[in-house]
Amino acid sequence: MARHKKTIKGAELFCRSLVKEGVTYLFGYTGGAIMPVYDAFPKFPQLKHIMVRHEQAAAFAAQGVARASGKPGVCIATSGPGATNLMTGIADAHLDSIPIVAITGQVATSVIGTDAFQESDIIGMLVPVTKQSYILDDPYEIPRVVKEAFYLANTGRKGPVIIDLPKDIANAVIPDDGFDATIRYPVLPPPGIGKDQVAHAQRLMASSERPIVFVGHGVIQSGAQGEVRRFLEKSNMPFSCTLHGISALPGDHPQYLGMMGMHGTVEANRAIENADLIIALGMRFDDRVTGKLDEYAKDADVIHVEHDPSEINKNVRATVPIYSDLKPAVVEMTKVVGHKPYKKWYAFAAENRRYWEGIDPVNQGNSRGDKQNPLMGTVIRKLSDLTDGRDNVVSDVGQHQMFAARYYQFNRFNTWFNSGGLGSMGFSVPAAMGVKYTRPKERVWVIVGDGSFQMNIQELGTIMEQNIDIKILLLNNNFLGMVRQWQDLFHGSRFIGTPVKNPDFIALASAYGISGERVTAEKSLEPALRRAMKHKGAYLVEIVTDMDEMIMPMIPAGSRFSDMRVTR
Amino acid sequence: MRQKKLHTILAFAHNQPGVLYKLLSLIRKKRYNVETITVGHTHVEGISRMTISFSHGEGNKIEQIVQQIAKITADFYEQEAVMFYLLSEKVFIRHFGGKK
Repeated sequence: MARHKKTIKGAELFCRSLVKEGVTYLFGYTGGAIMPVYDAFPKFPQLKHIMVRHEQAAAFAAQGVARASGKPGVCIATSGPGATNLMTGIADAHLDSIPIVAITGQVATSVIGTDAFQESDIIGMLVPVTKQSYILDDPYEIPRVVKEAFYLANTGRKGPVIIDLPKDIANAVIPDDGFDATIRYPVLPPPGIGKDQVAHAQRLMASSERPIVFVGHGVIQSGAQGEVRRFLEKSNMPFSCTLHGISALPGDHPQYLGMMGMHGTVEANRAIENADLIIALGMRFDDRVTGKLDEYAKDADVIHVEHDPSEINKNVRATVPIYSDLKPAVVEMTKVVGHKPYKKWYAFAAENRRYWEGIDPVNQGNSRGDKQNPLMGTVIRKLSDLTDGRDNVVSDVGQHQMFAARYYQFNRFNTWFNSGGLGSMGFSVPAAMGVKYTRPKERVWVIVGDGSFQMNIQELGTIMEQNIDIKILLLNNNFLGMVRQWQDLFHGSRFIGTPVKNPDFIALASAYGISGERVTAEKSLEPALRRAMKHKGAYLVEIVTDMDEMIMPMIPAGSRFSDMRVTR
Repeated sequence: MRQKKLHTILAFAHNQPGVLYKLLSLIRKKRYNVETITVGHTHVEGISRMTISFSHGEGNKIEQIVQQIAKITADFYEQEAVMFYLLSEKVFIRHFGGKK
């Protein structure tokens, strides 16, 4: 009789491979095709599965883990509808370059392509929004595919990778040896900055009178904040952040002009409009950043440092295109940059700052009486002051997002999380769960509007079940505020499809065992926020705000910077 | 009617299910029309050669699609994906990862 070899099930081999990649949390929802993997979980206590209430939330929660830890987050769902429900979260991760690994069950290989029950061609659907996709048709491939998936998700420009696991592969029993987990095609590092490029950059920097440095998401993702800061402080150049670059450097830095782009600060956008040199670090000149491309920063030379060559010269032509990782390129540029006072240039920025501060409704509306609702900007500024700008802030998508980006002073590295590229409403609550699991000792705030809150409100169930301690700041104006603002400005104030009849949010939270309170006047704002901070466990603060409040300034989509509007 | 330029891309990739789909999905996403397409084996086992011609009104976005295709094919053709592309009458040759 042949000697019995040790055997292993495909699903167990899969879980073991996840453990090898250091996975702790999996956010997911079970179902027919993925059941074998769930069945194997008890044998791997290192894997902690968090059951969400909708698969889309699983993908956003995985993003929360990835954004907060810098390592891939994991979500898991069954075939068919489970897989398609993940799609929004995966597309979101793709546009924001967030490393997540999505695991989906699939029908058995024998019936793939026959329109079997709960079959969907999820790979076919996800190819345009994933970095790489795998369908496992051989159980021996499991260790290598899992290893490659995590490697690719987190290497170079980060992004989502999907592994589709057919049920018969998960159920297959094979001898437990002889696996080859070698990565087949290692990603090559970018060539880096060349001597000619350093010299060219040096010439441009030396002759520039009005430079501005752009700090993008890449600075956070590559951990180059120290190098970038040294460059900035040696050169004394002013800098501005993209939406995702916020929190890369302290918000109270004296050289910081604020966020750029559509809802950026007056000082940053006026500086960009008048700059003679732009040094763009780890960003991609998205249309919300540039407005009308033909008119964008016409007088400026552009030094663009990017590790994805397809982003260089895509929207804005670079005078010095540098296809390189950030750290080494910034270090080389720091060596050759000189210090200049830029007195006139900073005076110009200060003048624009004073101009805006003079007309900013948040500065003037500090003493709104009891009869008036608090302004959204006031609420965020109060939160920023109370938390010293040091808490984690997870925002949803809409006016509240822009207010959070502008009025919260992020003083701690990588504490600002939101959906920028895809702009997915419903992002904040599930993403905050992922952030909280990654940073259990830190306070995590959700800033959300009444529309966005209801797009993944079912996750209050997950928060209840798992006792997830997140503080939800709901800015409720009973409207889809950002769309309303556009209707007001560009569609003759015809408010179609934007008024919202809302439930009693406090009662709803209470049904999930979550405490909360409603604030309608500014004087009750601070005590409510303090109670939320003190409370052990999740807490909802609903703030009733005005429907006609607008986030200003605004550069209308596709417009020139000189078309910036500062009042309605 | 606008004169459409014809661009031809020659790419090498691993002979696996889904690679061609990935390339075409990128071309489709950008709303280019495929005029001709030829895929066959090369003398290297497991490596396919794809010749794709597509038409497009303006030439300024070609550079990006070539870079994006390079990202896909470089994954597959080990570390020496070599790609040629023809833009108007000029011929460019790029080496990905190969030593110069």
